[in-house]
Amino acid sequence: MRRAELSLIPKLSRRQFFRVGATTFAGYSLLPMANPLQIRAEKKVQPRGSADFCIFLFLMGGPPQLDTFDIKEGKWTPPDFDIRTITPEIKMPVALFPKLSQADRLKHLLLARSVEAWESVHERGQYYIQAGRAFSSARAKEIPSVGSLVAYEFESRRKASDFMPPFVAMNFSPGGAGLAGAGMLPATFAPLPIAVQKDADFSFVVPEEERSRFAQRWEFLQKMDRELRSGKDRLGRPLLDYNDFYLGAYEMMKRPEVGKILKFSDEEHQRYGATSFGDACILARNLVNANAGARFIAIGQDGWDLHSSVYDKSKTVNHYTLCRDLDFALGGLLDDLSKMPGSQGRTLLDRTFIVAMGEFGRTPGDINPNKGRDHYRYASTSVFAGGGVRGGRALGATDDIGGKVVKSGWGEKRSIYTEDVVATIFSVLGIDHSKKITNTPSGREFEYVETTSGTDFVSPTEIAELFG
Amino acid sequence: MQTRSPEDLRGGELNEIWRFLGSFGQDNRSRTIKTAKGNMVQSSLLLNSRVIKERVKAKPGSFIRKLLDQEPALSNEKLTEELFLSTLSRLPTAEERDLAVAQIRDYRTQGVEDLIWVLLNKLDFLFNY
Repeated sequence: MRRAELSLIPKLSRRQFFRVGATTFAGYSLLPMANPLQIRAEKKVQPRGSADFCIFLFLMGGPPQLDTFDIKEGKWTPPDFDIRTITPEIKMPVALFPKLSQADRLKHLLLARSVEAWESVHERGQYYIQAGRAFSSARAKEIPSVGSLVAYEFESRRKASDFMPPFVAMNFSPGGAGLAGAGMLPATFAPLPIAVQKDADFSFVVPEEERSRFAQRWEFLQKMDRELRSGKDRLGRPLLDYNDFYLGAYEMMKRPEVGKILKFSDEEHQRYGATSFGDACILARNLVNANAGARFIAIGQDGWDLHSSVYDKSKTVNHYTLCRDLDFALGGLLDDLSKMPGSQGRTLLDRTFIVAMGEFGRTPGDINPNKGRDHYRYASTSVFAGGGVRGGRALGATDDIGGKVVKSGWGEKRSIYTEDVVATIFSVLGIDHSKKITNTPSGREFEYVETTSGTDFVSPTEIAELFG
Repeated sequence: MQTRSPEDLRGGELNEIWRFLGSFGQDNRSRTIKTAKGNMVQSSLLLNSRVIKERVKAKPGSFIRKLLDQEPALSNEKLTEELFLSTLSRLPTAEERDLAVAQIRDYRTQGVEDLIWVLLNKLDFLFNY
């Protein structure tokens, strides 16, 4: 029998391929690859470029600002928080953050207390923080996440020896919104999602004794699957995308160094809090230390959505456990990165921008009748460190119950919005945040940082006051 | 066969299968990334997970072992066809047949293991099967 009768994928001539490509959905999504993206910068922005990496700790569910980094004491405050004044502007619940309240760690942290979110539901809020803009069902397919844009921008700076994907997401599967991906950008800029589990053997690590046979099998596969992986099939982009995933995976798997990056000791596991969130932070440290191409590392800490029994220690997940897990993980990162050498004669912490924030804050003042706190978008605290951040400070202030921003604390007279945080991430990584992609599949311009999101027109800008 | 809940697969050797299914979105819905798009984890698991590596071994009682042990012995061409039919539900093209036969000619057992590994990693296995 001839192939044409056998294969479920009809063979198309080159001419047919282009004709189909022009009319089908697959062909449509090929557009950004066929025509390179047209990008222009709107205004002259001088990106800061003070970091090589960004570690984004996503405190999923929304931490209560007034029980953490913007502590407000009231009748709701449990007596065992051990609240102490560390510096004139920073009070900390020392019992909750024994590591982060210590002067040698706090000196790295900047607590931005004038942060407001635009959304009050998790799905939309978690999307907002990943994409830097409101969810739009009309555009969601083409919108790249912040991590994917960073990955795309770093493509030209990628070294030939880089083997890790530029965007890695660990312990990160937002319940409602899902992990935002590459959108209109090629699949190579999609996040690599790693579920970190202790003692799990990572499929990216090929055992030493299997390496030669693995290489042979790979060669055999390339020959046997040449046709489908060449992009000449009518399925087009989905096959090419999948081939990209294979190539990206192989890029890692052929390198023995991957084994060292995706590995941590028992001592480290304990020191980072013995949680999968902590383990992911160890791997993030390994990734930036290896300097092997990973630039944007997103890590999720789930569980902050405590509508009831927030202070109840009998619950498996409560305010105390969440704070402790964050304390260990972020504390470990600060300790290790500040001792490791980074580029330009600085420490790795100096060259790594760390952001820790949730999608919104929680209801201020007294706890609710269920002894919990609900979603609240009008005040929250974002924590920044590294990448040139001058720590040991608080920026902005809220009222006595942590419910209203009363001092913006930075160059703008308004609160800090997600867009400003995103603009700052771009700037720190040396990316002009005023850029726009003009030839999107939908035809609508795509702004790296949206100026018309939320409920008001804002002019997003980097938060220059974070830096010394 | 009724698919078992991924939650039943936790623990011991089943953990591996749970992770494999999880990477393809078959898992607790509140924990799984909601997308039909692929990712590098899926590729790496197809290339290098115990789930796949164990299944392509010519262990006693396995489908591959039975094929290899048939009396009278199957020709290399016939063996290739059987493996294609059992994985991709189609016969090989002439080019594929030649490549496969060359692979299993000299080291039959190892060649057959490699061939079925390749078939499970061919894009048509994911996209057509």
